Formats: sequence, structure tokens, C-alpha cells
Amino acid sequence: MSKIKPYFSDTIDSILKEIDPEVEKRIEFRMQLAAKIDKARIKMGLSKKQFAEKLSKSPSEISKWLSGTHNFTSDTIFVIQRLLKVELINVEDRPKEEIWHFSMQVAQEELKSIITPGFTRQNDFSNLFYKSTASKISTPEIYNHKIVAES
Amino acid sequence: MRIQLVKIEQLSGKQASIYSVVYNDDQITLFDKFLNEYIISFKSELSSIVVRLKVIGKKTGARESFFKLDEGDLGDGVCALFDDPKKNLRLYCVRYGTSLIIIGSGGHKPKTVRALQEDPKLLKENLIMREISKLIKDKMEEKSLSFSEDYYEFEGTLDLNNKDNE
Repeated sequence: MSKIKPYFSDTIDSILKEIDPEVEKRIEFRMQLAAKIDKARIKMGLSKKQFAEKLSKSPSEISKWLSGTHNFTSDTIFVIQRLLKVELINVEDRPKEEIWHFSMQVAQEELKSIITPGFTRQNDFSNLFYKSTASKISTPEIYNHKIVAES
Repeated sequence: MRIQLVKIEQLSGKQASIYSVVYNDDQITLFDKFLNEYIISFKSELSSIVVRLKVIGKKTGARESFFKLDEGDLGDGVCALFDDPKKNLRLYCVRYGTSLIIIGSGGHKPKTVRALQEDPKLLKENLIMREISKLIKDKMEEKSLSFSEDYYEFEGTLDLNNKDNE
């Protein structure tokens, strides 16, 4: 049985060395965006034809969108996000990950204060609950924890 | 026809393996020949093709939507890397799901050409890919060639001969 023969191409190597990293990143971004849209379309159970119909576009235009070569406008991204219920570009000031970590930190402090006798909170987040975007996401989860801890 | 399947390390990654073929007595792959042929006239377009293949290998996999399907015979997997109508080059491939593709050669696609049959160079490169796909299918049926368990690699005899042409 033959082993896979790795092949090193000098031509590919010189092309990759010469390409502007900014251009490379842009191509990568377009392809990943198209892949994300296509995954969301499949997850929603829409055929390409149905996807095109819902957006009042031709199938050939949808093929171009999903090919990874298309330069989307923000309006198109907005429409796709709404239809597929997927976040393609996050325009919030605070990244979601940060909100999640913040929420977890608050939740942990809440739990500790409930289950540890004599525990004093290091930080008081109570005012932040109603000021930050995070509170909208984290508050119900924290109350869930509270209920579990108290029962 | 004699071909040797080789894996292009610079383009392959965790998402897909990118193979090409050394055809008959050539020293380089069909894809390298394609690059050498058009590097002067269409350098930026070729750079874009190379980067797209690298992204397929390392980031996204060979998603169906990145290709123009059904460029060959029924079910033979011959397709072309999706190209914008404004672009000049067409690259033919054989796609085996999202994890393995063979890239071949292609050619200049003049604006006036609507079907590949109208252009002798495109037709020639397309027919080579059909032949390669058929040879691989035959060798798989003979069990001298197979996919690895995860479908990312070819296993078996990677030097393939078409006995009809010997």
C-alpha cells in the first residue's frame, strides 16, 4: 500500500508569500461568512430555491452569495440575519463573549452569597443589572440559580 | 493514461485535503501547470484561487456552494471552483464531499464562451478530469484504492494506470 505522497509546490509557495495579508484575510472572511449563511440556511431547512424566494432573489444570485466571492452590503446582511435568525456580524459595543463572562461572574458571586454562610460579596453588581445589556441576558439565569440553591 | 495522486501540503488542512495529480510523464502537477501557464497574465486572479483553496483546506472545507457542480458526466464529481462572471479563469476539480478534492487544470474563459464545448482548451482540461474521476472510480471498484475511514485521504495504490491505454 502506497503512503500519501506529500507534494510541495514552489509556485504555490511563491504566490502565498507574495500575497498581501490584508487581501488574504478579506478572501477568508468572505468565504467564512458565506459558509455561516449556508449553514444557517441548511439548519433552517430551506433549499437554495426557497431561500431565494423568501428574499425575492434569483437562484443564480443566491449561488453567488454562497460562493464565498460576494461582497455583501450591510443591508443584505441585515435581511439575511432576520430571515435565518443568525448573528452574522455583531455590532454591539460589548462582544457577546464578554457579556457571557460577566454574567457568569455575577452568577457565581450570587451563588456563593447564597450557599456560603458568612460570605461577603467582593463586588456589588446589583446596580449593573438594570444598566447593562448583559443584565437582559443574565438576570433570568441568575434567578434560576437562586431558585435551585434555595430549594 | 497514468496518474499519480499527490497531496498538496500547503493547501490541505483540518477541514479538507487538497490533492492534485501528476499526469503521465509530467514532473509537476496539473495544478502547477495551470499556475505556471497563467501566472503572467492573471496573477491576481491566480492568487485569489490559491487563497480560496487554502481557506477550503484549513477553514471551511469544500462546501458544495463554493463550486459549480455537474461540470462532468453524471455523478462523477467533476466541478469547477466557483468563478465570478467577471473573472477570466476556470479551474476544474473532482469533489468528494466536503473533506477531499482533487484540483486539476483549467483555462481562460473568454467572455464570449458560454459552454465549455465552445473552447478547445477548457474542453480538453475538463475531459482530463472526467478521465481521472473514472479511473479513480474503477480503482475503487477493484479495491486497489479507497478512502480513509474519515474520508480525508486516499489509501492504497496512488499510482494509477488505465490498462486500456497501455
